[in-house]
Amino acid sequence: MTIPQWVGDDIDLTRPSVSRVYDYYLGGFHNFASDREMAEKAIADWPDLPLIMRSNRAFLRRGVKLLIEQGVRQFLDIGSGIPTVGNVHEVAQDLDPASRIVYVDTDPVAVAHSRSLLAGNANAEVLAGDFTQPAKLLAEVEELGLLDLDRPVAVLLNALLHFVPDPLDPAGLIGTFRDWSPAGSYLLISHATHELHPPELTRAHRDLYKNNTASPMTMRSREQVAGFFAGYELLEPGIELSEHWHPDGTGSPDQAERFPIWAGVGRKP
Amino acid sequence: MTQKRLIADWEQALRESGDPLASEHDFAHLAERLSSVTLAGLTPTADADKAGRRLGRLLVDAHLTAPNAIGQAMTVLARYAPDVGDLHREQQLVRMQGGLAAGHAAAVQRLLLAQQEAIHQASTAARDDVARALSESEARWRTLVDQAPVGIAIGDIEGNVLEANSSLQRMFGYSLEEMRGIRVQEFTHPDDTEDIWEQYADLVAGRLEEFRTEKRYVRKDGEVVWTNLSVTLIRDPDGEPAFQVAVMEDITDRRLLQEKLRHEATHDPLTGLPNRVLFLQRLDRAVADPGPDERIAVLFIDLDGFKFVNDSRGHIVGDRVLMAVAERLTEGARPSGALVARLAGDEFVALLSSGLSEATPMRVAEDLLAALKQPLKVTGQLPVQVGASIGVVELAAAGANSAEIMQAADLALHAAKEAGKGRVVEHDPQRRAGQLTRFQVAMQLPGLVERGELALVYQPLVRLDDGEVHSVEALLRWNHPHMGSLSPDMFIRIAEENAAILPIGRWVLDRACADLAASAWPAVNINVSVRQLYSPQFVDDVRRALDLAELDPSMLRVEITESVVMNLDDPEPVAVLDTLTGLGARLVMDDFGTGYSNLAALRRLPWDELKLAGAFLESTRGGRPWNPTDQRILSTLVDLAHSIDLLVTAEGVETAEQDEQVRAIGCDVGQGWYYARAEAFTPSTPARPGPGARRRTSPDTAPIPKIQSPR
Repeated sequence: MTIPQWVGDDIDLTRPSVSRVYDYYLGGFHNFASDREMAEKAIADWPDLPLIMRSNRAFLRRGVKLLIEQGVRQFLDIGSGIPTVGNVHEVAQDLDPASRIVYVDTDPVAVAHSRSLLAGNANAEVLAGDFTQPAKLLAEVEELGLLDLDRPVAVLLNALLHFVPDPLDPAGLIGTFRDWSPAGSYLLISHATHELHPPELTRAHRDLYKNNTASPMTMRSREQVAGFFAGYELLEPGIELSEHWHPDGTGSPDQAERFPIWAGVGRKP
Repeated sequence: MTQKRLIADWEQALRESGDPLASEHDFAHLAERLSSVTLAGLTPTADADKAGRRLGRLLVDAHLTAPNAIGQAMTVLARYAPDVGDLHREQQLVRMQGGLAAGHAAAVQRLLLAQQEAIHQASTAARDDVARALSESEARWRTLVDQAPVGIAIGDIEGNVLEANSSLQRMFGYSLEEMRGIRVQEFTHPDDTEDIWEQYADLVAGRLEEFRTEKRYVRKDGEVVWTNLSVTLIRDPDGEPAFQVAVMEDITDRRLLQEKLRHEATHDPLTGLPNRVLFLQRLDRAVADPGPDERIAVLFIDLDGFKFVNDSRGHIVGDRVLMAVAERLTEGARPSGALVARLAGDEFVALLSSGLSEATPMRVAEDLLAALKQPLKVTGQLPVQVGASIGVVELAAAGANSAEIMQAADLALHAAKEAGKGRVVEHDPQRRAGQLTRFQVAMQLPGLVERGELALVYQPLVRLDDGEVHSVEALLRWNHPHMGSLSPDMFIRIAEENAAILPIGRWVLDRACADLAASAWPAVNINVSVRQLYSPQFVDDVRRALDLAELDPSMLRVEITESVVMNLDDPEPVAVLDTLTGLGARLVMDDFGTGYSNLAALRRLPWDELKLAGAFLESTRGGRPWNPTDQRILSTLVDLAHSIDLLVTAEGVETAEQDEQVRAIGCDVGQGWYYARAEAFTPSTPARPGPGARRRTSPDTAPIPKIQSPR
């Protein structure tokens, strides 16, 4: 038996977790007092946060839908968090029940919850794994045997990369996944940015995460996010605010700048 | 109010409910459903409360769970109130509002409880996973630690043993329970060095993270166990020293083996005495770090006649004799505290190094000689008697050099042997300048011939009846570049021990034959060592030398000492001597009467001549005549030799009285200073009768070169 990398980590429910705080923003009840306390603080500073999360959520839904339209039936969702309504497998398998999804998260509670939720779903699996240790993670993905590596895979980095600081070389890590992916595969990214709001606001938000969670945030510019697609061909309309990325009439494109998320999907030639 | 407006109201309410997940749904479609449920609930027979609950449930199913959603929904219904018309329907609307609130609250409550339950179960499952993994991991570690071949113990910072694995329990012979009652500090060994416990104190004080050392422990059964110990400090989360972990490997066997090997490397396996290596180490140490005014002494002990014991009674007895000698020496040296060692063969050595008075070393040496004089008891044998010679060096330790001390002791021993064996001779610094050590000689022997440092001198043998030269004996000299002319005594014995004698012997043969051919001498005597007789080349060497010089073989006289002949048990040398006499060479027994005069030996080989040892004349030096018994024995010996047709030569004749005496007992030929000293050959005139003519021996007519004869 391999020892899970998080063995020895305390599962400290008195400390907010990014995935449970996110669940709270979305109106879910998969959270504990500490998560709610921090989320309430964040919302008090930035009342738009639940809507921003909704926008991100909506982008993921539209992104998966577009990928299905492009013919992709395999998804590797890294940093999947607490699976709430409208998760990737729900969207994808609603369009094609044969779609295969592998969820990956470092949060043992999120993984355990995903596991119970996915019980009985033969085409969806969950792994405890870390994006910043790609070799180990990909070895476990392959060991799982769910994904067919002769066919395209969409790697979903939804609201994940702003929790990967620069010293860990996010571009290099993405490169590992790109090199591993078969030709014709896709990369989906949504990423928080500081470019649209007053620095005090974004700094306060960053500090909140830095001081309360194990996951400090690094917000990035549109150009930096575009750089993450090295080796990919960006689909139309390139890197855009989430509300402007393939709007389907349910969102608020006219207020797009309230939602500071750069979004994009690229294809590996 | 139209249904259309109701639908629009619902749709707006949905949008403004602000519930993030609600955007997943098609609000227009949902608004239509909500609208029709609302209207159906207001028909006269409808259960408005039930319809309200259904509205609440639909909202929650569409993820409109936030408190705001219920507010918005209430507002939609309130705005519809003016359009209701009658009291009954107003009451229905109120009931619907109540139902909506209750239905929404109930649905939210169900969802909340379900999700809270889910997340708690997830966290419990995750914790169980971690706990299981940890316990598996811990179990693995525990097994690993317990089965590890090294001893592992954990102690608290006060030194109380908390845990100890099986290896450690086996190593120490204590059970875990017993170990727990013992503090680390109690596991001492009397020979622990101070720094072990200093390091330990530093570690528990947090000044040192780890230390490694080799340490002895005393097992429960009292045995000593040697360990390779490593102690590591474990700190608590605040960085304070909390535990200590000791890992120790049992290296007892390795240490014992090392000690055994060290003992074997420094001790003589036969006698158990320290060997040369250890002795020189001790001598070096004594010299390197001397106390003030400290004096040291080395006694170099060499057995006399041990070779005879070995040759006559075999090596096994020889070895037992050496063991008995070692024991005797050790006992004899005990009162003085001397270190006795065996250097090689029958060479022993003793080191005296503390509290010496000047007289002590000589006294100890005399004591050792006296101890050796008592016959040795050797298992299964008659008591054996061996004597010894001892060379003594005594000097101030400061400034001394062990190599020079050993050289000096060797010289003193050499002097003791020369002085007649069974003696103690103290090193005389004066003598040293004039002598070479055996070691130096051995080093310089190779290449002696090539370097041209050898020379021959010739001493005539004179016929006593007419004073004519009977032959000349070729005597070897080493013209040493620093020491001058050295006699064979100084180096032939050493040359015989290594193969250096063979090229020297060949050179002597060639030189002597060549000189004889160029002289008017009738014949030449050369001395042949036993080693040459065993050389398969020797007969060819003789033939070649004779041929080169164009000599008749009868002009060559081969001298073999009696002691060598005594030991000729092998057929090869006897065959060699037979071959030589077959060629025509003559055989002379040298030094007859020195050792173990064995008349039977005379029968075994075709001897032509016999030379009485010069020792016989020693007692007559200073003009004293032989006593009648000696004289009678000697004259009988000569008569006996004559009776088997042997010519008898008397050696060492130095005075007119001795000349008279050797004539009186019937000797035929005399040799000694009285007649002539040994001199180098100088070809003054070509003595050869003519080229190509092989000379025939004709002693009667041979001219006599440079004979110093009084007669």
